[in-house]
Amino acid sequence: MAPRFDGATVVLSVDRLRTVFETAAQTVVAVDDVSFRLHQGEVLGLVGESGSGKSMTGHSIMGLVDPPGRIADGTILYRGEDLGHASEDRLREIRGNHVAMVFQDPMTSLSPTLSIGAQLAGVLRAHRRIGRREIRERSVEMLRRLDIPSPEARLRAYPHELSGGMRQRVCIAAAMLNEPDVLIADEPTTALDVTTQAQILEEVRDLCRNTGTAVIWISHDLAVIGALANRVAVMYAGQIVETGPVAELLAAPRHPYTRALLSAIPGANRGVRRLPQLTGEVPAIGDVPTGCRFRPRCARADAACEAPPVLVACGIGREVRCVHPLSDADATIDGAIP
Amino acid sequence: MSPLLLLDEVGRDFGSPGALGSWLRRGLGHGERRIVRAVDEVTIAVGRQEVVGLVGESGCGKSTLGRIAAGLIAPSRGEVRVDGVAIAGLSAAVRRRSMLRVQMVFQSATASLNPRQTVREILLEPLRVHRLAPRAERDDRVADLMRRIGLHTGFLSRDPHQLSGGQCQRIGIARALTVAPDLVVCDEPVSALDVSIQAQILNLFQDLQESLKLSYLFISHDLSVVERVSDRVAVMYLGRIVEEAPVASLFGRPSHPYTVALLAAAPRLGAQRRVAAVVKGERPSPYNPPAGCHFHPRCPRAVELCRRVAPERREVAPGHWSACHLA
Ligand SMILES: Nc1ncnc2c1ncn2[C@@H]1O[C@H](COP(=O)(O)OP(=O)(O)OP(=O)(O)O)[C@@H](O)[C@H]1O
Ligand SMILES: Nc1ncnc2c1ncn2[C@@H]1O[C@H](COP(=O)(O)OP(=O)(O)OP(=O)(O)O)[C@@H](O)[C@H]1O
Ligand code: SF4
Ligand code: SF4
Ligand SMILES: [Mg+2]
Ligand SMILES: [Mg+2]
Repeated sequence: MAPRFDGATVVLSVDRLRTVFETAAQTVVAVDDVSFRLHQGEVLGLVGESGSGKSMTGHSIMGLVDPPGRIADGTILYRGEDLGHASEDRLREIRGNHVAMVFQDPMTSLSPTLSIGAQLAGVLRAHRRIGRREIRERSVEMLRRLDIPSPEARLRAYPHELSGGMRQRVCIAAAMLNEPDVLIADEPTTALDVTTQAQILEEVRDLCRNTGTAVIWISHDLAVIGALANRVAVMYAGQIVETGPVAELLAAPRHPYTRALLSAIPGANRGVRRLPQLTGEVPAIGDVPTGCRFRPRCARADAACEAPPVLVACGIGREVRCVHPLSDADATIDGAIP
Repeated sequence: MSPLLLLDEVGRDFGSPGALGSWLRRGLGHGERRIVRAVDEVTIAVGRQEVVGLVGESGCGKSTLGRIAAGLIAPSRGEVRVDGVAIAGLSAAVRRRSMLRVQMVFQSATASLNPRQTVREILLEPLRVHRLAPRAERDDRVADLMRRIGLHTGFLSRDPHQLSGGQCQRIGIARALTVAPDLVVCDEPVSALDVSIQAQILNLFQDLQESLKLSYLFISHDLSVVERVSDRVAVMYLGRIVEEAPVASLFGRPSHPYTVALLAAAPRLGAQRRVAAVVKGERPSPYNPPAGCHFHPRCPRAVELCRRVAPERREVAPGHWSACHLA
């Protein structure tokens, strides 16, 4: 039985978040009306189409949206504190001590001119006063737990001397050394083979258990989400279109986009010559379809979908943004779940 | 006929400081730097219109081997041959043209795009520099590619930092394809894409393989993707290729104990919360790899011989090679 978090403390609460990029030429709404709550020790999986606003949701929470981007609407509460009204100093303190993010591209968050050891030391020192010996011990220990062989030697290496998967793990190590309250991990294991990945997931689960860290795990890999998350939110074109407990949602999706995602998994399509892919034109930038955004690509679309659908409850702890949600019978995907 | 690409006993070391470097480091008290043998005498061929998948755990040398194949770094030992001609012996100009036929899709998509160019410039530059298509056709070619990777042409005027991770990855793919290469080395090319766009890209690779007779060296940690796209698969462990076989044979009858463990560890939907590390034991250090068979400290079947003697590769079934004493 998956743990329920209904009674646990809410550490992060995002309400009607809207993040836009505004230039003279156009306005891109990267995140639109995104709301969710994250409880202590909970793992929320965030999945969705490429470009749907997953990373920008994370950046918005961190207060790291670069101009011309800005948070146009909504509130982000960290343990009840409104981050939208926090000072830049306070935000920096929160980022250093309480809310950590592993960015999607490790090369953009690692400094090319500092050794791995120096970068990890920087993280530890930001947290509290700590001696050199302890810095070294804790860094080595964390790298070892993340399955990096010869961690002592790797402390002397520079980012370009590491493999892609090692860089990702160094970024995860930096975030975990903080023992943050909230960890936002953006596609953190895309370069990792299954064994290494399993090791990382185990460490993340330990972290949640032992320090109560709450995690937002952004991933396109539904098998990883299935193994790690308690709850899933599916994004499409800036919005959450479906959310619910992980097992139920993957076994019987309610939103047509979620079903399309599940049916495109290569492993579910052995022996098929071409993989099923979404049909329909890719929407132009800034030109989101009126009504349901998935409408141009949805087989169930009809006149009722011309009004923008809202998230409605559909079962215990589940919500869907669709006027013709799938039933259990529709939702079964042949072969996807062995 | 010689294969399109042949890597013949190639090896690559890192971290071997030149005399001056090592003297300086010692002077500065950094001690002796140790050497990583990232690629250890690998022989592998990619034929015309063939897809060779390359799998193995993080840090085993896949990207390094890919970069050698794409002519981006020189091997420390061994030879790279394109159409039977050794690349190292060619004049710079001829080499450039011949290596144009081999393109690379990089693992770190965002970092591989020039931040000071727009997407249009990134995609047009190779065409312009190598005078590949008539000027009038270049824009059409780029627009067609954008459609095929699932991005609206409105993205052409953007800078890389205005793109999402998966959008950058697709631009990296388009850039490799603009010059109409014969072989594309794809390093984790779909790792940041949701499965639906991943499907579109994999279908595109398949279409181009058929229509343009393209070949791929396809590096991925995702075994279901590799199984899907590859004709042949090579499994790498600590710099060496330990098994190589036609795809059905490798997934159906894996021979090498490491491959067996790798396949058993693959997470699947439905097998929830059972993603356990099947390859047990501490990961060996690439600075100081185990003697004999590199895999022996973690191998459930290891015998005395494995600790001393590195196994030669052996053909265990037609076209199916395995480097294990017990194979
Ligand atoms: N600086 C910017 N200016 C304009 N648009 C931007 C900018 N940065 C991001 N975007 C757009 O915002 C949208 C959401 O981007 P985001 O990075 O959140 O996507 P994502 O869901 O993380 O996708 P992926 O899975 O591909 O990483 C994308 O369409 C992207 O092109
Ligand atoms: N420029 C370099 N300098 C020093 N060492 C390097 C360099 N490039 C790679 N290495 C080392 O070579 C080994 C193989 O690295 P490589 O990037 O080829 O691995 P990989 O199989 O692609 O791993 P991943 O799946 O994590 O991307 C690693 O131990 C790495 O640290
Ligand atoms: S609201 Fe209509 S168009 Fe949108 S997903 Fe549901 S059925 Fe499809
Ligand atoms: S050679 Fe020995 S140690 Fe190596 S894989 Fe075979 S049985 Fe295992
Ligand atoms: Mg992203
Ligand atoms: Mg790599």
